[in-house]
Amino acid sequence: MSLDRDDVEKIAHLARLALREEDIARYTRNLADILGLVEQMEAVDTRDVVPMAHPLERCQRLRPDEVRN
Amino acid sequence: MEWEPVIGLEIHVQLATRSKIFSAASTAYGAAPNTQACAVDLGMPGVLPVLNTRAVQMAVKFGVAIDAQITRRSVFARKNYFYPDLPKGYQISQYELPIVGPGHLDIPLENDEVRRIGVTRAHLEEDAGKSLHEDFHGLSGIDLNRAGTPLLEIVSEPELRSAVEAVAYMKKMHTLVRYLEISDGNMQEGSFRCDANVSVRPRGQAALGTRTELKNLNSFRFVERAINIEIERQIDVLESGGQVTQETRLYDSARDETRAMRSKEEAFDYRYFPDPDLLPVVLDEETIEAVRQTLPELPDARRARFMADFGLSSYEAGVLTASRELAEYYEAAQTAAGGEYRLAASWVMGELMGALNKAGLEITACPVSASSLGAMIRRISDNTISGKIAKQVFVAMWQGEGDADAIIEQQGLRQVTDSDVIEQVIEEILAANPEQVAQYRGGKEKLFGFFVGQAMKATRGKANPAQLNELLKKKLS
Amino acid sequence: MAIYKQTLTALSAALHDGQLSSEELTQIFLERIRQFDDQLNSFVTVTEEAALQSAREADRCLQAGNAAPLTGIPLAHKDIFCTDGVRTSCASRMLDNFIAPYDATVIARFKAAGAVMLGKTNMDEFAMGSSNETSYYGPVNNPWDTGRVPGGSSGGSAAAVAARLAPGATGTDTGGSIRQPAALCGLTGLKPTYGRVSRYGMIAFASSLDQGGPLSRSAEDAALMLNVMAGFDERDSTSVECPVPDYSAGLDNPVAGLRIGLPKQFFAAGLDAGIAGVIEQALREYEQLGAELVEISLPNSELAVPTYYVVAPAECSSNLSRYDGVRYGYRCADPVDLTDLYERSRGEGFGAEVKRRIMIGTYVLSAGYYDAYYLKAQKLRQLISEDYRRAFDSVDVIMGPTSPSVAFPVGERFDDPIKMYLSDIYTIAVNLAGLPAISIPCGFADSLPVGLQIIAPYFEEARLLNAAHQY
Repeated sequence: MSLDRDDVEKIAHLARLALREEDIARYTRNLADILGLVEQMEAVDTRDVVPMAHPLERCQRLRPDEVRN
Repeated sequence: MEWEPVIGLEIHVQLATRSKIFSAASTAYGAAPNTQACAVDLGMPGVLPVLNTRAVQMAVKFGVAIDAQITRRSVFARKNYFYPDLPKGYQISQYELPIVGPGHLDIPLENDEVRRIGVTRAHLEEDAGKSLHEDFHGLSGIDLNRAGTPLLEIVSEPELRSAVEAVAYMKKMHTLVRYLEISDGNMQEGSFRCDANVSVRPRGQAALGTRTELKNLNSFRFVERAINIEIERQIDVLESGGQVTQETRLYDSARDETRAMRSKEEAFDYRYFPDPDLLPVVLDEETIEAVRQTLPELPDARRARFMADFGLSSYEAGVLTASRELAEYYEAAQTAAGGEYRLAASWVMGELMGALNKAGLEITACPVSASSLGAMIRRISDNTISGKIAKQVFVAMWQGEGDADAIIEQQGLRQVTDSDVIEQVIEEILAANPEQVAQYRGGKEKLFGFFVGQAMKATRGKANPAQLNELLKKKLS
Repeated sequence: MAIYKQTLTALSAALHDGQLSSEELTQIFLERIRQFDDQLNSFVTVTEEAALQSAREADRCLQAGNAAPLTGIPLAHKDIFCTDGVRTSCASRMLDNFIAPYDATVIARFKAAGAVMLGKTNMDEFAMGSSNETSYYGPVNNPWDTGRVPGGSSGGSAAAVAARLAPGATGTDTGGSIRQPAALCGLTGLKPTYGRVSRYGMIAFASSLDQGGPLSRSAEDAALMLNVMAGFDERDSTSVECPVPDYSAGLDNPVAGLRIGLPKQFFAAGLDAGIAGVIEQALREYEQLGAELVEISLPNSELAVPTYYVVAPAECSSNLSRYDGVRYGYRCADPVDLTDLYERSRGEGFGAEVKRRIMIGTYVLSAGYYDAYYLKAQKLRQLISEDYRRAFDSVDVIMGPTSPSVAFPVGERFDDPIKMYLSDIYTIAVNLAGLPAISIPCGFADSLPVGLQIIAPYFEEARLLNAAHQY
């Protein structure tokens, strides 16, 4: 997955992060490398797998409607 | 070219819980700024959300009331964006799996017509704080009291075809949430907020046109105005060969126009994903059934019952069931009146509501209780007082001078029903006005009213009108 | 033996026996911090006055005879736990000026147990790192060789305990941040089951992976600390209502018959020979104690690192959105408008690694990429967990090296994020599955500590501590 400078600037703005001009090239490289690492996920067929919501198969506990300071 | 408007409404209802949806801070309205926001609401480092059970119950109650599917396993998702009134930089909402699935709302239109409007979904989310721009010079004030208040966002299918229908839907929804006691529906305080998605398309076309979102519609009147203006505007644009821009527009009531909001560079990418601090909300049949048991008689059912049991017209029943409190007031009044439902209906819809509107009061603040009103109405039906005198009695009751019987005694307002006494009065009047008698007998029938008036004056309005009329006719013939 | 060299367990006994007072004990450690922390940089904040005050209070309890095991014991806390009235920085410029307005549940529990807080320890910024080199306050040095890293992100806690500046410390573990520094510093570090320890007040990095746990010099010590840390907290929706056993009981159970699973993927070619040797030796010891070694397979192991580097950044990108210069924390000078306020406060307040992860996270959640990245990663997570579930059908614990290398020199991996990320190759899957795991010291390679990792099924921390203790 190639990521260019434009992409990085867009992502930085979406995340409200000001990047220094001199750092942008390095970040672009870093991000591209990391995404390269992540590409390894493609290798596995997960069509029938249910995504994990939580390590524990629990459900949300409900709190009584009381005001507490 | 015939154009068809296509409208969908998104209504945000603030749920009437005591504490916030994810924290134990109070939701009471009107506190000094930033005094009702705890660490969780402020998005302090390290805090975590815990879900309020009543918010869930209220959402389920709503879903059951609109015959909707209740999602057995719903999930909270984060809606990520940056704004100062959103402390965490994300709003906890629901995205792919909302707690309430598709349902419907039947809306009354003219000529007793009823249209069924689909409700796509309703989901739980937390409210953001408030930004105040006007009170500060060059700055914006942020009040986070509201942050974390539970909201139910109700989304309709784009099945509304006119501003009138949109208002009818909104009103029905407003009545419903108050009937269910899940919200006080107070639009001035922001407990009931409406956004409209509006587009137009050539009649007969299946594809939808580009839509705009209208915000800042905080009264029924504004909703109707804004939608109509926007429809006209879009038609103008299209008819002059232009394109409708997809954007958010605000309704400016002072100028009676819609305006595009400050333009945003790009459409928001909210990057929704399931909130890892919360677990899926799982509802079992028992829980849902228990909520179903708590449903009150819903507006439509009550209206039908009023029409059947009290012989009211659809319009009358509609007025009296517009709010749960009013409906309950009416029922209590007619019971206290000994079952005089027609008389009670006309009194509640007439004098009572007139007085309330004039004083700017809601039925819940009515100075005359339902039982007192009913007792007074009983005095009309048992002939103690006439309908006209009753109005006097009502005014005195409104001003807190006591109950009907006490006022009638004090002011000596008992009707005169003794035929002999009335006859006596009539004879005196006829004797005192021989010319008019002659004229009447000579054919000037309008003078009947003159004699009635004189008799009423003589009896200080207390003569029973029916008896008076009968005896006067006899005497004059 | 010098006081400061004693284990937490021994110190607890000493205090209860009246051999010395908590105040004296606390002074000893404060003095050591004063003397040696310049070389290590393991503390961000030392709370001297408050420590002595709590120590005095503890002494009153000890004298009155109503003291708990940890009463009067000085501990250090990772600067990720909110401490009421005390700076809580997450080793970031963003929170350098942040005084927490409340205590994290873990901190409150230690206070209630009478423990004394020496101060807040250094860490990788916002817990993102494996070497404690990303801290705003400068890197932490490994006491075994101050030119080398202590591991991360709980590097400060590990260095402090290893250098005997504290008998025990708390850490947090999202991808190995307790276990890996424990391994690199020759300590015992435990990551409990997800949901065992409350996350309330533990500043969030990756919400579905984070867990707080103890760093100590023995399993016995870890048990004492875990007894205090573990437990249901109604303020944390992910906290589990599971009874807390006494982790100190049962440490002496024999491990004869314990079935130890050895994933072939953990011992593949490429594992450093020195480390492999030490691990093999440790496993022999277990065999001699009567345990049974079983080869198992965790086929999806290789996907753990890429999966983690989607899930953790995604969650952290959202968790860190609250740091915006508006209500607390770092704010840039003279913002010209709202966007500038946000961009510069965050751009200047966060270090490079944090910014990298926020951007990755933002990217994988963005429109069009959610399915391919985040959703896919959550599915892989399911597969990885199932590998472990299946393995535990036939074994009681799983063992292997904690880290692929011993402590590496400061600066060696700093500019290579990928290389840095691969330090976590053995620990990450455990967080993805939410399982409990412990790293214990099992020898040396190149004169540097090597850690053995033991993984157990959900809520079997007692089993871990038992196995660790028996070694």
